[in-house]
Amino acid sequence: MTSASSLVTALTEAGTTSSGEATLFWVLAPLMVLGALGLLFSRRTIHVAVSIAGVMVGLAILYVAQEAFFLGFVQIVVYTGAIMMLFLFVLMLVGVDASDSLVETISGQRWIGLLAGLGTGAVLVGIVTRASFAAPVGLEAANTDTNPVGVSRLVFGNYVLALEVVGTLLVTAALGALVLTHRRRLTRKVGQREIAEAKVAQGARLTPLAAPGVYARHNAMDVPALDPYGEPIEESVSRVLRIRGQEAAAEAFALQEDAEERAVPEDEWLTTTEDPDELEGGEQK
Amino acid sequence: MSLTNYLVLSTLLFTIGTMAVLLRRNGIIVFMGVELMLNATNLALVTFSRMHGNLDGQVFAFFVMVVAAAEVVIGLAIIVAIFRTRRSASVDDVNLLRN
Amino acid sequence: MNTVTLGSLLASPHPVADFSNDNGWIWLLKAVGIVVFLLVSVLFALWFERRLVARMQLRPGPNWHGPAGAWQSFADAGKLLLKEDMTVKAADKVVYHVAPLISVTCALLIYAVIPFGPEVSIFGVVTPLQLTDFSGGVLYILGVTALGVYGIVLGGWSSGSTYPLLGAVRSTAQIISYELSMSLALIAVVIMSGSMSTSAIVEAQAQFWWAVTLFPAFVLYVISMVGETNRLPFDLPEAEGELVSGFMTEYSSMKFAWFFLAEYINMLNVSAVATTLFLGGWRAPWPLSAINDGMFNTGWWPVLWFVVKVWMFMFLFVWIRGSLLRFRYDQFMKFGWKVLIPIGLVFVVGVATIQVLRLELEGVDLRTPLMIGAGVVVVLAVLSLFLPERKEPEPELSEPEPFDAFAGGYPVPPLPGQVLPPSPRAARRAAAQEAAAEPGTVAVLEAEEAPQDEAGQTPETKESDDV
Repeated sequence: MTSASSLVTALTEAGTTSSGEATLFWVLAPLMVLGALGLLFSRRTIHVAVSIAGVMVGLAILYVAQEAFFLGFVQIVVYTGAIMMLFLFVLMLVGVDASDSLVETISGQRWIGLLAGLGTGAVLVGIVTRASFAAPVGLEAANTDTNPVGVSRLVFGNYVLALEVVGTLLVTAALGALVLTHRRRLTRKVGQREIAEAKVAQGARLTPLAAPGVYARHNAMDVPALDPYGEPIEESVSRVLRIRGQEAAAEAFALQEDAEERAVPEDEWLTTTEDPDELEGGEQK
Repeated sequence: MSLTNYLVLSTLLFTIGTMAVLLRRNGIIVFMGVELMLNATNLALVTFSRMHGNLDGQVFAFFVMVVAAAEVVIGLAIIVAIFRTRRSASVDDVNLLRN
Repeated sequence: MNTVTLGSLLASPHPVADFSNDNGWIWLLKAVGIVVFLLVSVLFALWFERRLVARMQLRPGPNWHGPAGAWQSFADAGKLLLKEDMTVKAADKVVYHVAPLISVTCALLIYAVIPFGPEVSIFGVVTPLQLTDFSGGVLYILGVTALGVYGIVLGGWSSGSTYPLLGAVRSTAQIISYELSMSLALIAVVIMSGSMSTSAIVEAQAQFWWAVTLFPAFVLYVISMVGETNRLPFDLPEAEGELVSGFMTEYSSMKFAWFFLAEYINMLNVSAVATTLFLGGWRAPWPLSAINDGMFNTGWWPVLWFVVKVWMFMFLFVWIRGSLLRFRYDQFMKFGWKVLIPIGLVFVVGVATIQVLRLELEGVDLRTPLMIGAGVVVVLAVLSLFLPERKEPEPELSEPEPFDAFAGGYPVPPLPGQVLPPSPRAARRAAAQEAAAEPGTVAVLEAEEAPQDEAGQTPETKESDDV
């Protein structure tokens, strides 16, 4: 195994990577760039979030390939597990259809932005490719006591002050988020018990509403349920349907003494109650 | 393959992140662009760490992650707060203090 | 399955377990073995859970197909495979199809780092019974669990329907919060073992299981692992009574089966992690481990102990399901954030302090003082059982209010301590008995009673009809 792993990650004498790592890179890198492009071209915010999460998993794999085991897993736990999940959570909270407006507030911003972006890219790529680096050393030596141990020596040694500052920052940020999203309650909180007591005191219905159609001989949403006496329960049909007048006539489905009456004529199925009194009655709860 | 390829990938991701920040209007997507830029620098840091043969670069990347987490927490809280009052996540609508 | 390539990539240069003898087909054999083990276990778990819950609820459970109904799982699996595969019209097609696969893939990945046993010889090749092992095993477990949530969240969102979305939002919040307390429990183990590699953690438990020495972390882990797998009493993302089936409401046939499979494999995963990190992994339980110089800790025996321990946790899952009710969502979040996480934080700080002291006082044998300390804590805990319970502050006994048998129009039975007002009928009966001596008045009294009764009852019955 040790031989296999060093085959994958260790650098060769000339400072280039092994062929295994090169394959991994050439498979992952195009996928990651494609995923990142989703940030520019995707319509739906959720798709953007998913593709960015994919890019971050790809980065984690590259970290591991570059002998940064600890960072690779932290990347997955922190970025994909927490940060992108937070993004998804907020997206679901604020409504996923929050899409871009197409009105340009600053004229020509799109072209300026494109130019600036491409320019930055060109400059950076130019610098990176033209710079001559010393022959890479590799982390074999630094990782002798396994990578997590090496990193933790530094974090709790040379950089312990930075760690503490960053920890304070994180706690402050969490508090700040609490303060920002906190809404003071304008009315007193009404508990489960109080609601139940109020219901009893009012003489209101204590049980959930009956589901439509269950006890009738029809399973549709617009057919009221029948009570034990065979009478239709008006409230069992959705209030929206009742107000729109789309409720089916219950009598057609009610239990009837006469077998012949049970045969429902086709047109009677479709009759709707448009009695205004009944509609008003539907608005109670 | 030399390690420069990693650096090029990192700059590409950084550029895409920059363009997302410059071009997109949805506050949440802009934020993801910022995250992508931070991630791209992390990749560069990890690569440099490997080039130099010491772990300081990885420690830097670790701290960047923590700061990014703090930033996201605050940023998303701001977006949620704005959304509550303005019913929109677009960055163009955040101009209450303008006039 | 890309476990093999990923595993070979991840393996650190200095793993604790020695895989140097492995070759390609041993890898393959182990990977396939793990997948087969998981699938068979899931089939068994379906039957096991249904029989056990039935037993707890005093009914037979599946008992028709095969010995004791054991083939029932196969029938269920076949049913899922052959059902009509529906795709919701409002669904976001790609994400909708990918989500179950994310779930199941992440679920299958965890067992790669779980040691089933020590080194054994497979067809002459000496190799540890573990697919891979690296310096960040525990982090790997946390990372893969975090990825698995994506399946649930994306599946819930992409269905384009209300209940699944609500289930998805709930499960995001739930898993983020319970993963915190879970990682705190794991960190305590990592600090004490001094390594994040699973085989090293098993090695560190040669003398004491961490479940004994780190008991609070164990309890913390067991609670949050139930939360992590969406099982009762924490099954809020798929609460049947509230959300139909939560995030998987709009899934059917094989796509549903993937989610289902992932859920059961996740139960096996957290059980295996709990076994490895807290119950000594594949190590034989104490009296057995002492037999014949640890004969039961060598060869293939440890697989037996491992499987038995995992199934103990599975039994625990079913037991909990059979006996506890679902939490309300706000209570559940409150419990996670205000109880589990603070306890975890305090405990981790305590463990870290002890560990630092141990390292500082190298050479001083701390085992005895620690054991004495633990003993004192246990004794105090036992003593605390004998303390008289603190009396609830008695409610101020003011003048007892007269009991109103018809409060708010409903007939109410008296609570303990309350007395019904004297019945008017009893008074009348007494009067009637008295009057029986004087025959002349009886007729008058009876005539008086009848109409009164009617007047008293009619409104009441009418009211109950209205309700």
